[in-house]
Amino acid sequence: MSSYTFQFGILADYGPYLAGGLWHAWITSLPSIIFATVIGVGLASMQISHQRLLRTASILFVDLFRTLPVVVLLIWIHYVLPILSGVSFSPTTSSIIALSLNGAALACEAFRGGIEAIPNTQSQAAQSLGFSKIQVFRYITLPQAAFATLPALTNVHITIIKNVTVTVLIAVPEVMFRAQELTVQFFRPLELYTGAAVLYVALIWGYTVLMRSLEKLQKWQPI
Amino acid sequence: MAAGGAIHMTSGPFVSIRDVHKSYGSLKVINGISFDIAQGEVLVLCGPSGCGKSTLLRCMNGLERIDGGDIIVGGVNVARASSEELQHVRMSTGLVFQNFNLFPHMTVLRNIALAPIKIKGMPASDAEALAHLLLESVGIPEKADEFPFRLSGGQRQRVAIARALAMEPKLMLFDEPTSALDPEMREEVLQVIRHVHDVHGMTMVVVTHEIGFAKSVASRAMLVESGKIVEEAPARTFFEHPKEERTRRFVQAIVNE
Repeated sequence: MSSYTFQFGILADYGPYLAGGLWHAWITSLPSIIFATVIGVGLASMQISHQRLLRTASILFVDLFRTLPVVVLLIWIHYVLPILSGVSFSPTTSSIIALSLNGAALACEAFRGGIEAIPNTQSQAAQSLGFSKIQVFRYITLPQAAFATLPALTNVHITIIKNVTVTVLIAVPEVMFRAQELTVQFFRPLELYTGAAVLYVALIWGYTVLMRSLEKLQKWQPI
Repeated sequence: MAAGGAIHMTSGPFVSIRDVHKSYGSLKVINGISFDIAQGEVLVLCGPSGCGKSTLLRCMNGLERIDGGDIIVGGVNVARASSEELQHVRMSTGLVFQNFNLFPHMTVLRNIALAPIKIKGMPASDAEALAHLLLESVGIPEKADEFPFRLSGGQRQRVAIARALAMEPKLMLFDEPTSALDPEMREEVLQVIRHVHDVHGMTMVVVTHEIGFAKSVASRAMLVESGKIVEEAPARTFFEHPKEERTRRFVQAIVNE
């Protein structure tokens, strides 16, 4: 065992500052979660479409952003894109773009899984009544798939929140950035990173509880 | 097609099936079947499992595409219909499945009212009143606000029948409506189908092995095997004095079931 003596007093003094980083983590991850989910639904519905062009476009998007490591994507958007396009973003905006693109690819796969979990007989029953293909998707497939997708979607959202920690690389002042900043100043890395760990676990656990309560809104059962 | 696209009444047969062929890969499931169904007629289709009778029913609704031949329902050739025409045929054709296929995420009332509201543009209050009326006629008015998972198999099938009736179809197709049910629930569903026939007098095609039901309701019965018609006769003759040896053995087998 090391002879390191923990002095958690640093967290009494700078804990609130460290915890303030959670706000930045949240305002980066929440928009990313929303964009990723909305774009993910769009991508998934493109993939089940009969238009080959839409399907191919969606598959290309998903394959690109699922395979690009988030760090590479983030650095590219923040440092390379401005040189190529002349448009530059704030660290938070760059982070939201990167996390949304990566999250959308993951969310698409979650939705596709949810849609495929709905038996084909459901859309046949609806078609036999005279519903159009779009109506079948809107009224029969999507509402059932939404609940079928929730557990997988929660995982995607958690991944997005966890990925916020890589934004430390472009100086978004979230928890990890502040822990690093304080460590340089006070040389108490073990206490500060332990504090950061506790804060992230609390944020993500809270989010998980929220999503589980959404699952409870399902009053029906599959038959 | 008639104005508005509704199925129109013709003086000839209501349904006309002409030399229909259908394969799944190399497996031939329907091999040149032809027959007519007159307006108001009840036709019972029977045959061993895998003989093509359910596929034929699904082809009549355009859920399966045929490889050759024509299926004309109310003047529309389902085999060559555009998706709009097909939608109109389906609006006036009710299909009841073996496994009910109710929408699990909607209440019983919504299951029945959704199609008239979204497809016909019926005001929600009218559609719900219609749904209550239909639930009354299938004998489960108290289940309106339940979700399907809370119903027994027989009740689910009765809701499925009500859901199909809500579109006021001219033709009802029943695909083994009682074969997924316990024996004691079968009778309640058959009773409802009988009632539907008595009240609405609509044209029906029923895939079933229920001989008692077939003899009392059907005008005609048909044995299908290996995608071909083996025998076709008035229902009573078919079950009591079949001409073909194959039909005799088949009827004997279902009596002994």
